[in-house]
Amino acid sequence: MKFFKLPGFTGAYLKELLHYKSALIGLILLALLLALSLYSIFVYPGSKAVAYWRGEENLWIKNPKNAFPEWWEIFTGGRRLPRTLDVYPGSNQYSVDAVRGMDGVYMVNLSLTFDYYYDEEPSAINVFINGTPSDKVELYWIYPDGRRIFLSNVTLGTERTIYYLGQDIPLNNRLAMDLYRQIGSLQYSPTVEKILFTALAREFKVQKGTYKLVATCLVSDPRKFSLELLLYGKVHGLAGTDHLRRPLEIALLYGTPIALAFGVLSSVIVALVQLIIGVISGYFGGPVDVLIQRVTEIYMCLPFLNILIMISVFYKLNIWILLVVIVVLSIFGSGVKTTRALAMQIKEMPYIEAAKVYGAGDLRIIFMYVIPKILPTLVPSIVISVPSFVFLEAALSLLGLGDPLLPTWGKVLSDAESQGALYKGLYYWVLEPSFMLIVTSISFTLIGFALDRIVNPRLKEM
Amino acid sequence: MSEDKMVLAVQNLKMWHTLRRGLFGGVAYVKAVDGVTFDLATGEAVSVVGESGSGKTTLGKTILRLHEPTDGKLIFKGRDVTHTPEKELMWFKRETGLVQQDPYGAMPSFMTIYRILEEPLIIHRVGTKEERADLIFRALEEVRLTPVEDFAFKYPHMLSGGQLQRVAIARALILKPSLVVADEPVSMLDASVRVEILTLMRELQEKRKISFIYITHDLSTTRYFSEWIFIMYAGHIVERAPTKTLLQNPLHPYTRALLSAIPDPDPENRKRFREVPPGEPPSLVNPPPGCRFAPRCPFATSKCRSEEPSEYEAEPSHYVKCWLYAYAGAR
Amino acid sequence: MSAVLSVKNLRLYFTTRKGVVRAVDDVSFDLKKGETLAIVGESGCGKSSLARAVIRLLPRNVHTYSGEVLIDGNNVMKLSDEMFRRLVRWRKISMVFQGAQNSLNPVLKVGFQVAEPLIIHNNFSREDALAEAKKYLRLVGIHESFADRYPFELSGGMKQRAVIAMALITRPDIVILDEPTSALDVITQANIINLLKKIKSELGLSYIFITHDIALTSELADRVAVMYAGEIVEVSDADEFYYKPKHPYAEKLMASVPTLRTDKKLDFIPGAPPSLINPPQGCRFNPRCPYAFEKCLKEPPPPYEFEAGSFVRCWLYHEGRR
Repeated sequence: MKFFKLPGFTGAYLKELLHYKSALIGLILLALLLALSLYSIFVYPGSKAVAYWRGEENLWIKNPKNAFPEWWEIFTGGRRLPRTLDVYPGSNQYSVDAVRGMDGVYMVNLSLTFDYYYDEEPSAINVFINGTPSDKVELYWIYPDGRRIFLSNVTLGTERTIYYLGQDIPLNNRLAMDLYRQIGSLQYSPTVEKILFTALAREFKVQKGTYKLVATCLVSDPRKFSLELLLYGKVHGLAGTDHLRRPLEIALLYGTPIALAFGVLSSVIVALVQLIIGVISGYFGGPVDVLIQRVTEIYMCLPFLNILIMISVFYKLNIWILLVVIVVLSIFGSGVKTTRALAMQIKEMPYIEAAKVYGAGDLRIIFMYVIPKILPTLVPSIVISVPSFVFLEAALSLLGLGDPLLPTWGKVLSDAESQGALYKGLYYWVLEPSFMLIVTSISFTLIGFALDRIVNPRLKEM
Repeated sequence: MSEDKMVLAVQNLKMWHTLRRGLFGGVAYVKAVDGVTFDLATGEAVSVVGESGSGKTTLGKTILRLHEPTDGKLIFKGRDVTHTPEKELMWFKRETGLVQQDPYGAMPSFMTIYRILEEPLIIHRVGTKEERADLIFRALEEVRLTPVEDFAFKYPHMLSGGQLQRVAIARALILKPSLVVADEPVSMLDASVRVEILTLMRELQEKRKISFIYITHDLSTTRYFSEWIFIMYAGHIVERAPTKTLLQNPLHPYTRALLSAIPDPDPENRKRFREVPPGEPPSLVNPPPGCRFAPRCPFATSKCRSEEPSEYEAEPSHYVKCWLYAYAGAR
Repeated sequence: MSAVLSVKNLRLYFTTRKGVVRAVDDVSFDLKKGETLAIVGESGCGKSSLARAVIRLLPRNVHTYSGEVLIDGNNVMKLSDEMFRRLVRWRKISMVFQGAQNSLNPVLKVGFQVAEPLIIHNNFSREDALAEAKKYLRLVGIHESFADRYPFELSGGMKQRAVIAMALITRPDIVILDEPTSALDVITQANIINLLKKIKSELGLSYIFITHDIALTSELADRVAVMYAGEIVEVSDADEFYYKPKHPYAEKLMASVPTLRTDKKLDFIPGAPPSLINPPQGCRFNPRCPYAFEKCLKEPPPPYEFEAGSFVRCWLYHEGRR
């Protein structure tokens, strides 16, 4: 059956579509979304993306938590926000000096130098120490103005230790007390990160210049010993990071093909099934029609979202099962009534009568004469419905009912909500997925309404 | 007429549509065809002339079994097809064709001309793909839509009304039927094109010896087209005669009124009034008792108003359903 | 007799996506008092647009609307839309539209609809207007009681009569009839034409009778204008026209109309009417004209006046070939 072959005049439709500026914008947006989808499928194919999103084995440990996107600087009025600085062994900022001591213990002096010219302090400071258990490390901090303060003594318990400076409360108290003694009352709340980067003054102002982290260590094997200083920025990447240090770009990128596929598939499948049911109902009439219509009416009264929530409470849903459930819950919807009405009109048209005269059977008439006539009129509504299915998936994820493993836009929103993003002022976390949803919606809606103007002759503009 | 020369025999055919009157009203019937009898020979062309509401279109559709007759008999090529179920009628559908009034409505707008003509062939499993292509191109040539390659792959909206009607004719003839019903085939076309289409149909009809039922309201076209004219009024055939005879000597008062109502292009027309009966055709739901034309007939008697007349052969081969000719004896 | 309506160089062009449609392209004609001018042409020739151009019922996408329309000597094209509505439309000229039976408002009673023009244009009170409406319903052969009925209760012929009453009730001098009998059966058509003849003489009207049916025009026409592709290609007196039309198109059109009472050889016109967006160069009929010669392909022929008030646009006459 030539049912699925695109009729020859879809080319004419496309040409006609381009006459409408709104459709042009919609198409451009859609092209962008498609490009993003293709890119993300190549760069993060399925399982890879999911693995990245799980963030196993501290995959993202070198990312800051809850970092804003880099372009957020536009809103800070000129203040440069700190990027993550990684001072690692082997770089020219890292100097080692090892001297052999007695009893097979080496004294190692490490000096990690870096320049700091940002207008704010880092969000966190971590020191990664690799070595042999029971190595001892003494850490000192040297400001650009020359002040040197003692930070802490660390004894390695395992081969790899992470010293979270910001969470060292005794350190925080000690440094704060020192500052109070030197300056008096402060006009800011003295966290470790702020203290380590401030100039000596009442207000907080970043001391710009060259800093050093100096470590005097007693190690058993200098070859296995290294230090890495991580100054976590407040901004990271194109889209920022979330509470698990995952770059949001991944979720936004990977969410694009999911959203598009989900939206388009649901919309198309629901429309097609409704079409067939409606046409059968309208064409045959009689008891078949009555039965289908009553079933449809009852179906339409059922509370869609409630049932969906119920189902997802009892059964763990992955995204494709979710699609099937949504389709099943939608098939006897209002589309059945509209296609039935259309089928009833078309049934009376002369060419159907002609087909009966030359012997076409009912099934042939339905699939090759009635449905192809209805399909073009359905295309606009299929396109316009796509965003609602995309939103539906996002809403379900937000309610915690979606696929827990897949990085989708809804999942990002869900994380943002449960982490209190807006309360914490992490606006980007909410704005970015919302922006993607809005762009998708605008794109399909503009195209869909322009298509509507083409297909529905009464709406045509002269 | 011997059986093998007769393509169609219609006997007292009735086609009533049911009208449901609201929740509590009873059922009423639109008696669109209410007792029609005639024969049609092989290769014979007949014009069925009547106004809208006369039942002529329903007659045509019932003959093609688009409706199942309410009563009476429909005998096609010797076989009774009155109540045959649809699935057993494939042979009948191959033998019959239809040309409709609206050329654009009669074509599926999403199929090319080629596909439109291929459909009947596919349904009746005629030939291989190549053989079908051959038949289709020849059909297009026959209706003079040349060059055929140009027309075959166009869509209906790209053709004019006249061209589309040729496609309709090609489609009706492609299975080589014995009977074609043409329902007002030219009324939606421009005057200058009508003659072209009618001439084409007549040529093909004569060449292939197809029986034709040409349904129209325009009496003036019938003389160029058919051997016989049937005049229909309110569900009945009120007069049947060979074309020339009827036009020169109309007998039924309605036929007379019809003929006097039609103008020829004559400048003297504006200086006089036409003598035509007042009123309009009756409703087919509640036709008047007796002769249906009686309310408007200038010659109506009380018998006309109470009893329905039978058909009388007023002259050889000239049949009239009117009490005025009862002296001739019932047919 | 003076011209009660004089149209000079009337143009009406529409803008569409595909280009500018030149529906009425430099049309001129006169209508004398008490006469019927028939405008005959096939679908798409612009005759309905011409009617609307005269009575100024224009759609939104008008590209050009120019020329002169003189009623009783006054050029009404100069009037503003509001003044035209008040003084001319339905006062001097009214119109019966094509498919008029569908232009009755289904939710208003027939009597009220017939009375409405009086209420709007002549400031009649509702009661007075309804009384007058009943008079006119009688005039067109509908019993008064139908004034209280709704359009669906009337037959096709009666609806047409009601619409005619609506066009007459403000006593215009000129009535434009655009296919007034198209959806009616032949006998009803004859009755309506009889009615039109009767009221024309009783009320002293002048008609512009627009139709595609040449035979029907002879029922009313004193003069005939033939329209083709937006232009008037011939205007003749009825007595001459029906025996021998002058323009080749008119000639072929006449030959393609089957007649009931005479046995004539039917002819047809090959090809199709031209697009009004891109009419052919030169004479617009030249692609289909059996007598076309080189001049026809290059220059559009101006009107050739062969009698007072009658002309034909054809090079054959200018060149003396006919």
